[in-house]
Amino acid sequence: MNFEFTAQGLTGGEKVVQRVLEIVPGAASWGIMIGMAVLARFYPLYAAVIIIAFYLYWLLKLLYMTFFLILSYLRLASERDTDWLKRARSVDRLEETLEQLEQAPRKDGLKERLSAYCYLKDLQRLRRQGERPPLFSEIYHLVIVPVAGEAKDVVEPGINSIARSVFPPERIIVILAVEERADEEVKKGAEEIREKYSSAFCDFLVEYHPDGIEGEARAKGANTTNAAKKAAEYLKGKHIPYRNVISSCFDSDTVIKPDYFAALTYYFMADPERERSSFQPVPVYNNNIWDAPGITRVLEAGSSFFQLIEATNPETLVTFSSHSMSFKALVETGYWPVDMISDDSAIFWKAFLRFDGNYKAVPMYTTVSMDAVVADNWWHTLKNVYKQKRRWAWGVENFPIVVRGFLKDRKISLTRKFKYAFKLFEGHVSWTTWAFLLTIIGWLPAFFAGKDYSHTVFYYSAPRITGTIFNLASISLLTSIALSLCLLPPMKDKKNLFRRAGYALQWLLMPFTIIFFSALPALDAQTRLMLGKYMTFWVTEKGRGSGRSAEGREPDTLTR
Amino acid sequence: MQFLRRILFYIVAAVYAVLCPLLILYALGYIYSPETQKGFVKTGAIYLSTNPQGGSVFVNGEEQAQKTPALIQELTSGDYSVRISLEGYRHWQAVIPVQKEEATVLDKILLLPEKWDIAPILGGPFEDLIPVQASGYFLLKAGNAGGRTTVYDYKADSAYPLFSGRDAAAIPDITEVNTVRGSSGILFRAETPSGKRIYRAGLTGNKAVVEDVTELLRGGPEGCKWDPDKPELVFFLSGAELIKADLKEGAVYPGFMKGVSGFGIESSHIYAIGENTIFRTDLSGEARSSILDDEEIFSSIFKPEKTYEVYPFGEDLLFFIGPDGELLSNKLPYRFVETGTLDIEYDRQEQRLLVLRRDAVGVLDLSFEQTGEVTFEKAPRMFWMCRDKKEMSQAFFAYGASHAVYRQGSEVHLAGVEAYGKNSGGFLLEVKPGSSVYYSEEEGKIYFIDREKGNLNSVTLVPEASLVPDPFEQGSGREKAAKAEER
Repeated sequence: MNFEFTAQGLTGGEKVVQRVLEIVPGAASWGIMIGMAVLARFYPLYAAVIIIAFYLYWLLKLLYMTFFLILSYLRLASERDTDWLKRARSVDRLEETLEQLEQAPRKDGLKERLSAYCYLKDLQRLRRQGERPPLFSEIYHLVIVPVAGEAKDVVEPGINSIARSVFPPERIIVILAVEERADEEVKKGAEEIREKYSSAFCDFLVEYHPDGIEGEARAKGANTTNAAKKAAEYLKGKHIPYRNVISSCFDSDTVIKPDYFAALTYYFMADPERERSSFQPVPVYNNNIWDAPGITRVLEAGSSFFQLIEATNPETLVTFSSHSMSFKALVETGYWPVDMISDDSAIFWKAFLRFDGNYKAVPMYTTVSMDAVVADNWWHTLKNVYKQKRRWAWGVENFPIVVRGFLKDRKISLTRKFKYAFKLFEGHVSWTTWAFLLTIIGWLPAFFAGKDYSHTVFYYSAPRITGTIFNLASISLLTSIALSLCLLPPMKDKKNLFRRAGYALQWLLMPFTIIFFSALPALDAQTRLMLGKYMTFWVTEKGRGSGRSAEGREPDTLTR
Repeated sequence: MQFLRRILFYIVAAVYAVLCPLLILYALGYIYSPETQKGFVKTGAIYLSTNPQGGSVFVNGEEQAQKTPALIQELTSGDYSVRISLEGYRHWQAVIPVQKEEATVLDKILLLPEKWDIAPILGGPFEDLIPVQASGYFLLKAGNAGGRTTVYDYKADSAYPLFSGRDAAAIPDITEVNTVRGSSGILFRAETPSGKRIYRAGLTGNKAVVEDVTELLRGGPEGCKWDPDKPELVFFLSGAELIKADLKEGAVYPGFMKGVSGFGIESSHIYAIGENTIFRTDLSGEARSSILDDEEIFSSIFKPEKTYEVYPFGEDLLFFIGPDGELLSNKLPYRFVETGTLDIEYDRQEQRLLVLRRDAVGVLDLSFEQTGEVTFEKAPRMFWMCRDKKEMSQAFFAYGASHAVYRQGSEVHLAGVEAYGKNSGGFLLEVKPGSSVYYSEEEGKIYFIDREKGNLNSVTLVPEASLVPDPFEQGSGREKAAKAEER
């Protein structure tokens, strides 16, 4: 379906629908919270009944998610020692490989068995369903790294990690997509990186994105789209077919493992619908995790866990942060939206609508590492964490556009439309409301209790029930602590054990953290969308050790 | 993974669909009772919290697993005999009614020690104790001689003579004392060699500042009222005329208000009974607003040409004690006690009024809402904790208005205000005949003069740690009084 994935330049009824849909998530969040508070004030018994029902729902969902978090972590761990390069090459010899796998003796360890089982299933599905992929030797990687204001010391480690890839670097093309408005220092840094690494790759380009192009916002998507268009011309000139190119859009601080592109190549080749798929690694924030304050660590670990859990549900998985997709699909989709902040998820939705729902995100059981938010002092770090989470939560801007797209599309089934739209809506509303319901609003019935309510059996039994629910929920917290410790990178200093213990204890900050650095920024973002106070891109200040990467800039307001 | 996810989702959804209603029904008091052949039955609960905690609970003679605080659930409607036992304390026992879906709450049960630990405070002999309520002080009289009257600061545990630095001949004999709740200022009449004089004393931490105010308050200290925040402005009735005296300026304003048959002061406002009206003004007599101006209702409450004591408890809740001790209010049903009311005390948090009569002590529960067909206003409910007694002379709330302490002759008793706890308490101690006792809610202590030696002693009725400050009290009376005295 040809659908303009934008909220700009709408007229008539479409503009009204867009505006109404922009109001819906924020209004729902505010409505739930205010409604519950009002109910607690005037009908505390009814409010308490709803809250108990919600707490039970929350507990079951938490345990359900914890179960899949463990499974997903095991899956990730099972591929830790996988030789991805060998696997990717093996897809060229599909029949022979399958024969070997089907006849191979059973592996010893659980992880090895799980890895081997998934490998076999992938290839069997490819044989069964798929059009054969390009040969390993024909596949190119296009890596776009957008730079808005990030300093050289933030960008270079990522480029260096790409250069150290086990995937043949002569088939990797890197584009540093630099904003023309960036400081001279930033541009100079980009050129220095090009000079240093140009011989390490097939090609290394620095593309400058002009400022103020009509129809574009000051958003990352505009920059990456500009770079991708240049890449398309470049590939055409080099006679490299788009279907042989896997494009990856990395945040500037993304550091990959040496076998990342080998793993990506395997997932791409093994997927029968590789031209209708995005490939999503698990983001971890390990680059500077030991320099980050406790609140940041807990939040970033939470983000990684969310992606791990989502990875178990490819049916509704949506791209987030650094991800990859077929360049052919990217071109056919019309590149990233140039006027949206949440381009990493917007590109998925844009492709989903472009291909009438015949598009998916494939979880990759490998990690990419990024920077946790660190600023020059604790207070600035907290401010930046808040702004970063608000930017993430601004992904709610996808909701009105996706629903408009669903209203126009005639090929996606109603059930799927409802499923995706509800997940998008529920995800954002629960992001905002749950923390408030759990920590503040849940106690209001007891706080407002008059004699009518305080002399009921419910008034006395409710705290015991909620106490039990919270105790059971601590299973999930303990699991999260244990898994977050497993995901941590090794430390250089000798106080490793103490710092890890400290890290575990920082999870106790969770109630404070989820209110102020998760729910509140999400509510802020939804309220802005509801009121029509649109956001543009803000570069998150990140740093490693004493080095800092970018100047934090206040978000601008975009008018439509 | 997808398949597993789907299966697990359905399992979790099914668990929720079953567990959620069951959990809510259980929380509401429903239990499954196959033996009654009714399936689900509605139950009630009893919540018991004692001070001190850890008491063993027996319901109909059967010991419960929980110690206090305890929630005894799954009780069908009916009366239950409950006993609480704790070593070193008297048994607490009551028959407690349980209704379906409701919790019978007894959250302030005081377990009384088998033997009181009496703490000596000051050597006497003293004859009487004069409370200066909610001020941090009380007076100890050793006869009428002013020089033998001591001010006791119970927070600082210090005492000093009311008159200090004066020669014995100049110290008058005190005959009559007037105090206002929350004010550390007192007025008293005294016999001096030159005749009857009226004095005002401002009580502070280490001395009383005494001044002669006879020229300003000729009518005597009786009936004088003032705002604890502005103790320099004293008001009193002379006939139907309200007179204002400014002790600081040394000025008297006769005819400040006319046609007044009773007044009270609260939160810097005067609440007065005028002609066919009850009204409220500020202390300067301005910003007058009517509280009741319905002539018919007015005439059903008040008798003409009678004077009433007015007790304001907030802007719209007033009580009146008439000349025959009738207890009246501006709230329906207007008349609560026909005769014999001596004093009242109101607890805002619990919305309870303690009523002292010569022969009874009762509580008016203003939080009780009528559950009848049509309710326009709350219907207060009066119940008597003890009746047909003699020589009832003092009563006050204790432990967050959950109990009442009253003095009958020289005996001090305790009664649970909550209806079911009427057996809690009983006899506490014996004091010097004719002497009052003082209870400090902040400390949970009763101060009294012992019968044998006339010494000042105290007993701890409620351990201090378990006392919760009154959220309606903005700073302690002592702090407010100190600030007012400073002004």
